[in-house]
Amino acid sequence: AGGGGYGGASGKVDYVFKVVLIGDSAVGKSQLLARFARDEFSMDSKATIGVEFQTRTLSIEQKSIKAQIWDTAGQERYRAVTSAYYRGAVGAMLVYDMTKRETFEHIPRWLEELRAHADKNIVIILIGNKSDLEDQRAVPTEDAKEFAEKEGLFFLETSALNATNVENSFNTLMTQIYNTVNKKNLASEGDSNNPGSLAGKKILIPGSGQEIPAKTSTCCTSS
Amino acid sequence: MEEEKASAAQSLIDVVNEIAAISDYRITVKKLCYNLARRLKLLVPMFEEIRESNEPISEDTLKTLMNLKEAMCSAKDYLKFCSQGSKIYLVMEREQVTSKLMEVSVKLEQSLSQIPYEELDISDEVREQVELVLSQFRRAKGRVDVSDDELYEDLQSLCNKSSDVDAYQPVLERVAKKLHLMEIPDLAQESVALHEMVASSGGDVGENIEEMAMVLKMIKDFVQTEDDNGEEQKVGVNSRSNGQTSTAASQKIPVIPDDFRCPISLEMMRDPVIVSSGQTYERTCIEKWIEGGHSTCPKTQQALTSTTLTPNYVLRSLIAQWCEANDIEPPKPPSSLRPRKVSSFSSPAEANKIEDLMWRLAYGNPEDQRSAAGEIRLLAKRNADNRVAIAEAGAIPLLVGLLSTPDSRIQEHSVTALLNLSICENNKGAIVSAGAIPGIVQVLKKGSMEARENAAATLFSLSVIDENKVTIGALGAIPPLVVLLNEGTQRGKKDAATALFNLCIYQGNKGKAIRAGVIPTLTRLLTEPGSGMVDEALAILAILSSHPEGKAIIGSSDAVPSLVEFIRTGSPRNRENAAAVLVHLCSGDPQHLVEAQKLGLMGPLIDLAGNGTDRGKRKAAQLLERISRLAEQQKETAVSQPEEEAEPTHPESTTEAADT
Repeated sequence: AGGGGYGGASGKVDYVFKVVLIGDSAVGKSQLLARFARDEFSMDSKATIGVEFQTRTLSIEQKSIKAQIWDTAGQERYRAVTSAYYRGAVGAMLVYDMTKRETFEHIPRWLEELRAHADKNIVIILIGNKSDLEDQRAVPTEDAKEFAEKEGLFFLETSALNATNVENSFNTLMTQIYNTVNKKNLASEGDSNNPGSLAGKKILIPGSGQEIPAKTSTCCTSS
Repeated sequence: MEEEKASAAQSLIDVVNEIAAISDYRITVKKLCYNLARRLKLLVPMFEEIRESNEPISEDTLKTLMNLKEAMCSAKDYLKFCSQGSKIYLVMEREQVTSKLMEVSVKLEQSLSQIPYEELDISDEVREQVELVLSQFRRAKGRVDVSDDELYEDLQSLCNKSSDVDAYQPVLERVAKKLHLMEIPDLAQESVALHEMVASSGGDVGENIEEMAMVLKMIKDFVQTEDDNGEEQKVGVNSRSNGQTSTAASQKIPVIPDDFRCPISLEMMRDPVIVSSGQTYERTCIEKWIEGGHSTCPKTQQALTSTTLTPNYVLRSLIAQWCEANDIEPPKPPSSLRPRKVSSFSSPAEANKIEDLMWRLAYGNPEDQRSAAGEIRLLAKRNADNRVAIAEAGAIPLLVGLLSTPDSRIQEHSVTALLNLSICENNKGAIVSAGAIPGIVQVLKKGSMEARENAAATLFSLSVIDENKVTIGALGAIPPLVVLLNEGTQRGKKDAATALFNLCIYQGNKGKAIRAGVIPTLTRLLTEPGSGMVDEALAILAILSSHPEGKAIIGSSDAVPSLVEFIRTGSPRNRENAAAVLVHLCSGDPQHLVEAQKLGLMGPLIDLAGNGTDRGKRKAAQLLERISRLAEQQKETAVSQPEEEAEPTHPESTTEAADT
């Protein structure tokens, strides 16, 4: 693990996309992130406190895309932000545990929170995690698929443990974001058929099409 | 231009106050930040003198003041960051942070040294103070605080490491302790601070922040591992390793998380505060502990370096969120003192702020109360909406309660906050019915000079309403106002005079003022060169002269020569008031009329009857009539009563701009 696309993004970055992970506690959000960003899986991972983020740079159509993925506490106890967390997000991963029915039943609530706080054109993918525990499945694939179609979400079942579909799910999300952004940039055909289309949406992509300095000095954030 | 100057000076004071309100600088930049803030606070007397001065200033000078303000605002922003920003960032980017602070202070020094002090009407003493500040800024320029190198190196060593917590245990422990990142809420707050930096930068923030996020993650893992080992508490741990997840989710009655309980009372906290050891307690519990003479942190046994209690807002909001999610009534403060819900603020942030201020007023230690009262004072000054909202939030009874604290600054802020609130018509009645008058009178008697002045101004503002005139007079406000009129500063005298004037419009208060000895003071102010109080003194004398006792005392005080002089040379208003006093005096004792005639009253009086104000003309005509009657009345003895005094003209009000 750790080779290839992992590690720091020292080169030129064309786009930075902020993506948020949401869902009930213990569905595996942080594990999905660790798998994607560092190809790691921890057997005794701790509850997420507050917010955390990791990045990984991907290449889509010869463009360098930096995925900035934010992870937040699913447990109320450790949550610290709500609306600020969604600020500037262009993509979201809505995660449930396919071995726990209630985590799936809470998805509409998460979706509601997402739609209340995030940009309405945000690209959303629904993830049923822990597909390695097929014998304990409590959410049929069909149920989730049906829900995703109804709500206009992408959908995949993943396993952070054995890495099934993790890469695929992030790639799907990033590509979709890239396509809509790119489409918008070219100001081409109006609405695409994609459910989570960003067409016509004004999004903030700092450094789009231009180089971002490797070290950005950051200072005062208060106003 | 003068108004612009006053408002420029005021805005500078406001910025300093905002800076002074920032507290709890991160430990690593504490000294630099405190020094910077302290120096700026020393500039307040200069701004106050500029604001008070009547000298006009040039546009260029005004511009230098605005430059200073700009420099102060950027200082304020950075200081805020040093108080709320990421702790890890402030250490790891210490060079950048220090140089930014230096840059801020160089800018302050430059803009401060460009002010043409000789053109400003400021006292030598204040000038010297500014010189001192300037030289401190210059001296600080080249001097960089030596920060904690061990902490810096520890953090550096954690960068680019895998998240294998075990290998770095001792380093992580040192770092977590030094940065006060030992508790879940602190860690959550730190993560939010980092998130904020990324979010507000709008995108890519560079690898340094990513490294910091990784370091924070390691600290979190370390702290959580410690927690688990310590208490066998496995909340939220992804449970592949131990079978199914805990049953907490399916339980009907949620268990209150330990972190939400006060370590002393074991109850869920309603007002969690952090002590200097980094631990969080329920405010009332830890206050009792400290008041009991303890100086250690009850949980860790560490010595407390200060008794400051910092509200733990993050935890409070976590508790509230948790209560909401679990359908539990959140803990409420005792109902008698509980501030009412805030409604009139447009933004929830402001409403939250007011609510926090109410909490601090009600439950804070003296330091909290002082700063909260100070902030309310400023907010109430700012605009009418704030005055309504603050009153609605229930501030008035709390402020009234604070009038009797021994702390003179709290008194001062509270009385001034009440003054500013009283500008709103609806608040005037509320303040009086909250029982404020005895407290205000107490401050008027015993407070600091500024507090006394503002107490007098408050009484003036409240006495605009007629029933309040009666209440204020009955509760003993008049004698201390007379004392202030006698011995106060110029400003105090003005405030006392305007208050007395208003109060004495009510007949029942006239005797009180006269018996408190106001008349000798007023006649002294009439004749004292440069007292600057002639207008007020004459206006008050004019209303007191209608009272029999007042008339007698004025008559015996040899005031006639100066009255005649005012009718001759005074301003239109002074001429009419002086004539009004004479009308009353002469109605009792024609001897005064004879004396006045000898002093050359006739010419000026005829002029007043022809060219004065309406009231002046009327008074002059009455006097002339009296004189002619007196002339042909050598044998007769009929004395007519003068027409009853019409409402006298008010002296200039000084209240609206009374606050600092």
